[in-house]
Amino acid sequence: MSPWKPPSLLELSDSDLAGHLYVVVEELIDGVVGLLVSEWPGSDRDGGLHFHFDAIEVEIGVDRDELEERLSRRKVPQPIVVAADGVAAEAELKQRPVAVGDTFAVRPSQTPDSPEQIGELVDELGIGAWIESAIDITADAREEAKSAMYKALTPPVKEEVAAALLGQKEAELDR
Amino acid sequence: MTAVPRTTDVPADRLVGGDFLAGIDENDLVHFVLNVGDGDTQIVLLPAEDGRRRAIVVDVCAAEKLDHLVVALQKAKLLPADGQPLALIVATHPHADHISGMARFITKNAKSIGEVWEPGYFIPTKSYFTMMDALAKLDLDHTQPSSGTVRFIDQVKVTVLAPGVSLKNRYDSYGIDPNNSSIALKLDFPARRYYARNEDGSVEKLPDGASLVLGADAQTLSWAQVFVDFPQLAEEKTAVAEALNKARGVNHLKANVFKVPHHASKHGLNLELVEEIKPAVSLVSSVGGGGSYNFPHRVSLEALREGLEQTTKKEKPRSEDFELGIHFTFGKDTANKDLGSIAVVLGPTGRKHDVWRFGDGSSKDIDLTSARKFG
Repeated sequence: MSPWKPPSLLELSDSDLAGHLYVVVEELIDGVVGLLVSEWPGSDRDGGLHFHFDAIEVEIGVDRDELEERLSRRKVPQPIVVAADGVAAEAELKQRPVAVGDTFAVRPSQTPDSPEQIGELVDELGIGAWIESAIDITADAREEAKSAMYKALTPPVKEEVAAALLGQKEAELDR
Repeated sequence: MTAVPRTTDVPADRLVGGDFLAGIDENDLVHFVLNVGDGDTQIVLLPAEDGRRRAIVVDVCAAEKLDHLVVALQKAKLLPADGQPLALIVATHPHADHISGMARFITKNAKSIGEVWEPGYFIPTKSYFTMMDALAKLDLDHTQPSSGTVRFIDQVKVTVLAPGVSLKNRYDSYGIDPNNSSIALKLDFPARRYYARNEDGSVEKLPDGASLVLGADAQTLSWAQVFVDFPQLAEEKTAVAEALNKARGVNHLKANVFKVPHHASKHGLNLELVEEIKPAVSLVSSVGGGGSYNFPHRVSLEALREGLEQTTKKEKPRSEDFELGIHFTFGKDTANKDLGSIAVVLGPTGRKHDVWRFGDGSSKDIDLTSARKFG
């Protein structure tokens, strides 16, 4: 299974992606942020995000201030920045407070011998030092989660129905 | 906010070994809260109908432990091995400590499952993706319920207390915390309150039976909505009030057993909620003063205690938690033995609410033959 490559990470090679961890903000309680750390996901036949259910997911609690300070130097997806009109948007995206559902491609400064030891390592180094680089992939991950829900609960849309809807949208845009 | 619950020293002589299985009548409901550390895994065995029990599973953090319990219950003839004995699987909300084992459990037990509920809150975690992936491969009935949804399963009425619709409509903007998407449930039994028709043509109604409130991780915002959706009716003994109460129906929130929300986090519980529910038994699943967030929080435990034993007019010391019916999945007895998973055997009148402890560690299986009854 090839690694999942979201639109905002198209410039990264498969080997670059493999060095990243998939990190999601799951809980915020006072000054503690609950992060779920997993290995980088693979992609399914359609290129969608896919985890094997045996994949390890580790929860760690980290200091919110330290995390936000480190994330202020995060990379943000350039297509979003450009669409939102440049430098001010980039600064705003970097400075926004951490929120539940935020998702990052994180390259760690150190990798433990086993995933279960991530918590100990982060405690030792501090979350700021453990994150070597973080790319904000929240928008892509969120779309994947939404897509996974619809895929689980609804049948595929018939081709002719999709074509009609897309045709209608194009006609509205032309108007 | 580190909590030091006083339950870690439950007197060993209050726990007496006995025959757990023999103590269960076919009309009883049995609620298991598994000791899984910092997380939730519950199974509720419903009263038998035509000699067969069905069950509701609420959250699966530890798939293997639950799976082994299901097999043990089948061997003990408390659950049938054929048909769809797992009538309903509820993933209360998509936090990993509630659904990390869901994909494995529903995949392995797909043929035994009737339907699945989850709140419809999407979050891009591995646990969520694998759960949805598993559901995509299985042809299971699926519902994303909100407050007011009612499902009758055998003798039990399952009412969804939360999330309210106003919370549900905010999922897509991440306008609420995932905890507040929690499906909180009330189980009442027997569900049918009309017993027989009298000779004069009137129907004979039964008094309230037994109830459980399973709070998931709903927080104060969600409980505030619950109070709006399920208004509490003042208890009055006048003839007019009694007539009105008959017309209005049951006391919405009162319950014999209360699964305390969010591992007794300070955001999951308030005094008013406990006063409304007024449970005889309160159950807390937590790792105990540890984990990432130091659950259970002291302020919540005090709210729980105060709700159960008002101190406004009393000057005597607070009763011990176990005397107030508060039981935790963590902790040990005074003989240093793990307390472990909990089962409450609840009779249809609510008067019988036996609490059993299995002494299992969080990574150990439940042995149904080594239970001790709290008394």
